[in-house]
Amino acid sequence: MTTDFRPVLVVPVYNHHLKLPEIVASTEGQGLPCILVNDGSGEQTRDVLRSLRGEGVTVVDLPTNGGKGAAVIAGLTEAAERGYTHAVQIDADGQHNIAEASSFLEAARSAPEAVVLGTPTYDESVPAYRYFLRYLTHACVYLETLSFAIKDSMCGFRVYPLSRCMALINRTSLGRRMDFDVEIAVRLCWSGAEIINVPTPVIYRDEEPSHFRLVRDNVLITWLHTRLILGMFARLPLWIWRGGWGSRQVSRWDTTQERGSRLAIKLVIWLYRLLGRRVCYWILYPVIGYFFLTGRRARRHSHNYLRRVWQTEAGRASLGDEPRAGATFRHLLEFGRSFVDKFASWMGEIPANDLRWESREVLDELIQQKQGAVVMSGHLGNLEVLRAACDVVPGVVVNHLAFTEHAEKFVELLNDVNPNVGVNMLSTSSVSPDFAVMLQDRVSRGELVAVMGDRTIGGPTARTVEVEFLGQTAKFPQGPFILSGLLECPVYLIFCLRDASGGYRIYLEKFSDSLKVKRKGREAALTRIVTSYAARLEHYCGLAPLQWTNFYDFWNEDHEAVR
Amino acid sequence: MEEFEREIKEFLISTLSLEDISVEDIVSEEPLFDTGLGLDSIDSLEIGIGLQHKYGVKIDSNVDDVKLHFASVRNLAAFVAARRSA
Repeated sequence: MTTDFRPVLVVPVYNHHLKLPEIVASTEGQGLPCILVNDGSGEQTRDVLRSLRGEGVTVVDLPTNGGKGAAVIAGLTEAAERGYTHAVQIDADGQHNIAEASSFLEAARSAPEAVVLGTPTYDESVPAYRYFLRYLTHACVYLETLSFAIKDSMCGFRVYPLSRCMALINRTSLGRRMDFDVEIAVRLCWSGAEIINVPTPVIYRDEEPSHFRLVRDNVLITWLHTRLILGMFARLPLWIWRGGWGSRQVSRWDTTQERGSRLAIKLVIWLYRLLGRRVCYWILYPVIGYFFLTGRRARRHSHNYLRRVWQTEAGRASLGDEPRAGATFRHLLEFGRSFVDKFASWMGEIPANDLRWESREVLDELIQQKQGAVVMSGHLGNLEVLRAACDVVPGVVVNHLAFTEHAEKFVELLNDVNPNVGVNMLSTSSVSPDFAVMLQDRVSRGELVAVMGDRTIGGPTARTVEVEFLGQTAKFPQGPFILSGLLECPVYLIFCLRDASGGYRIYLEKFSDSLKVKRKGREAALTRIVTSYAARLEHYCGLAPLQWTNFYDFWNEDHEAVR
Repeated sequence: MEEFEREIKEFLISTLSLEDISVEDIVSEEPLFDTGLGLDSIDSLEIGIGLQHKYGVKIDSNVDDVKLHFASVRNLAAFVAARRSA
């Protein structure tokens, strides 16, 4: 818990000056510095602001009216630059009681990572149509956040933890007008922030103009919720996977959250059963369309990757024309499809005759050996469908390794909700000394261990080796290769790639009899091994370029961005 | 026991080929992972397999308090010694 707690008040001001002196006087009394953001106001308001400027009162002048969101963002940016940790946002029209700021700050101080939102308790002054609109918005927000965490997303009286807020502001373009308050609240919730709701009285006053222009603002709000609902759908897999929006929420409301996830998984299974795989594919179009339009970073990574594959002969043959936005859209769509197919295979609903072994003789050899092996894949295609494939080959047990605690929880939930789900996933949140021993046992029983050769084992500080991949050096993890070596068994490469008919082709090839390497000169040996793995990965990327599911900066080309 | 701790240190050095580290450099009470000797998760996999090879000691996180036994050379030596004589 940090002792560093430096709050500041941020007030967006647009031609509301009557209550400003009162607000400023009150904050002085509470020892709270304030930043007043003049959002292109008229002369009269500017005069008032000028007279208020002084010790502890900063005025930020925006030359033209940019909207409430733009003004708050300017204020938060100023606050962050001045080294404040928390910002209290309040409306300038005096509808909130500034004396209440102390209870908001108290809540923020006790949970510095949380967002504190005001929940209005209305007096008689509220206009009826607004009342209705609020309820509609509440319903939307419950749906968008898949929870009742946010009691009121529109109240302009709140406390933001600045570092989390600035991270969000820097990576997304938030609504600049009346849509700001709702959007930032929902997105903070998505980012895993804890939400604390504090009741506060709200008074509507007649003497001040309200900037809530009925038609224009309602169009804005409708578009906002369309965006946010699509955004929720796009994040739904993540939400199910994590059992909520973030670890903090999970640890705080463990049981309710888990009950929620269980319900959601049941709902998704029910929906899937109701609609079927084909309809799910159709639903992907608007969801991926949204993701395509808003996911600037995913778009860039996709384009970088596609450009590289296109440089290879096989890639060019598969992709055709030079990849542009259309190819990126299809790439994202393919990613969505792979998720639907994953789900289908967990449900045991990929029919065995949808799968074709491309190299049956290698499989036969593997079976005849009656010896366990490592089957190594990568984030290309869909290894999950192996589950269906293994029904074809009785007696072969495949253990999928997953290195997150989410996986552990997720599998538990899946099995709990539907015992017929045969997910043989070995997951561990932390690699411990007994992990390899346990795997060795399984291999000696003749089971297969499936690992990914292109993702790290053991956190971000894990050891890597740099080899050439699609024309440039990329970092590959050492972990999967060292682990395979420790198991002292044959290693096969396996890729399950979707073909044009919607079925899967399974490519299996022998990679090595054993990846066991001597400690001396291990780095060099690993470089050789990973180089040949990368070459095979490149080969398969050429066969099915759009089935690459690494949507991040694989070649470490982004120096500005943090993953 | 001190002698066995020394043996465990030698075992760690040879299993992980910590070429630039000698037995004298390893402090028995210091943590093995992260700080202290600074081993990582991949090293831990190798130690697990190595213990089985050399001492026939098989760890199982379902029964053993892995975190405790692998906290330091001292703990590890005590664990291996106890398990071997069992």
